[in-house]
Amino acid sequence: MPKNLQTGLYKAVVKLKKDLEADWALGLRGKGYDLPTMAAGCEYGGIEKYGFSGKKGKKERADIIYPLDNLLLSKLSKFSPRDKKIPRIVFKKHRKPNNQYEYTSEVKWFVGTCAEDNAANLILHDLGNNKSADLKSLTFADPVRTRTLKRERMCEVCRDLFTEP
Amino acid sequence: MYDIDYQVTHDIDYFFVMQTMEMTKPIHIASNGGVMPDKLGSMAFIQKSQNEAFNLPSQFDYELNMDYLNQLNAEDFPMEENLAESGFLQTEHYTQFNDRIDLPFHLKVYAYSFVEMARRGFWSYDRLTEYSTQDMYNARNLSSVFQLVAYPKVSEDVVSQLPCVGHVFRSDSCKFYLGKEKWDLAEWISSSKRIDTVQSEIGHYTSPRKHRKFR
Repeated sequence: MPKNLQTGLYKAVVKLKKDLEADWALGLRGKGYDLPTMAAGCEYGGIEKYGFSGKKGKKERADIIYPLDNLLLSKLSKFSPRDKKIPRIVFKKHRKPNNQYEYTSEVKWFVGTCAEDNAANLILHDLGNNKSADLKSLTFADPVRTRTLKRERMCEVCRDLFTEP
Repeated sequence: MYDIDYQVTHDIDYFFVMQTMEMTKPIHIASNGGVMPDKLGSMAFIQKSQNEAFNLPSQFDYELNMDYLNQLNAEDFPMEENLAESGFLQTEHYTQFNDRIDLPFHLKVYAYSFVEMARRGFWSYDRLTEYSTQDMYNARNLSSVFQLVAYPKVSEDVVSQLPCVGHVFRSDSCKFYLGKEKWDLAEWISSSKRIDTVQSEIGHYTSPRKHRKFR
């Protein structure tokens, strides 16, 4: 993993925080203006891009997150073959002793919103029509938590998608 | 409440007040991509409490939970030269530690946002992620280990100045629905002195109406 990529990632995170703090100073807080949990750096063919966790929504920061590229989306969809809706939320119904029901939910196959996905997506977006890049050939910096700059591990979906042969 | 996909991809600051037998504690939690309890209130209410909290003056002295911070590994954090070009060292986040030459660099990087909250009068907690289970991805977002990072030095004369932001929960009535069981947040908040850690099985309670919407 290139050392410059990791340093560039730290720089990108500090810049993101400064931008967000400028928004917060204007009273803009709440949905769309919270810190993304994770940040990741990705390099391919000399292009370096930095991505943040989250998906593009109505109020999301459109300048940092694009809609997912088709190549990435098709690879990601293998993780949720029955339902391509991302994320997929699984609900469970539990019967309580008094014959009432309680509902709980879990996030399953919550894919496509990791920082790595967004960083890779930016690379693919830059490559345009020349999408010969194999996802396994992308180089990643260690993902970091934006609040504390602590290095974290890649999630198992991203490991499978980007690193493991 | 925030959409679940937003919650698990963002590090949201949320606030509430815990009333215990001993005292009233204003609490700040950094969600770190965790699922938030529904009981915190609507999205607009959380946003309002965030604005209130961040507009408070930084007037309290603070203490750091060194028992926890000393467990952090310096290798997981950037070194000073990695951040030299980014401008971080010139920000207030870093310069607030100018008088803390005893504190290693990586702890200043880790703790600054929690210290900022402690200086505003909050007991500031971080949600940690657990990688011990096989289902690592779900563990990342659904595990629940909270750790006290920084808290204000509170003496008799400043107790009345502590902020009141977010909902007020009485420690004996504060039950959050998490998983199949009610999870008593008060147990670890009220019993905490310096080191607070709790683990519990986590799910996310949703109403039947929401269930129908997604099905």
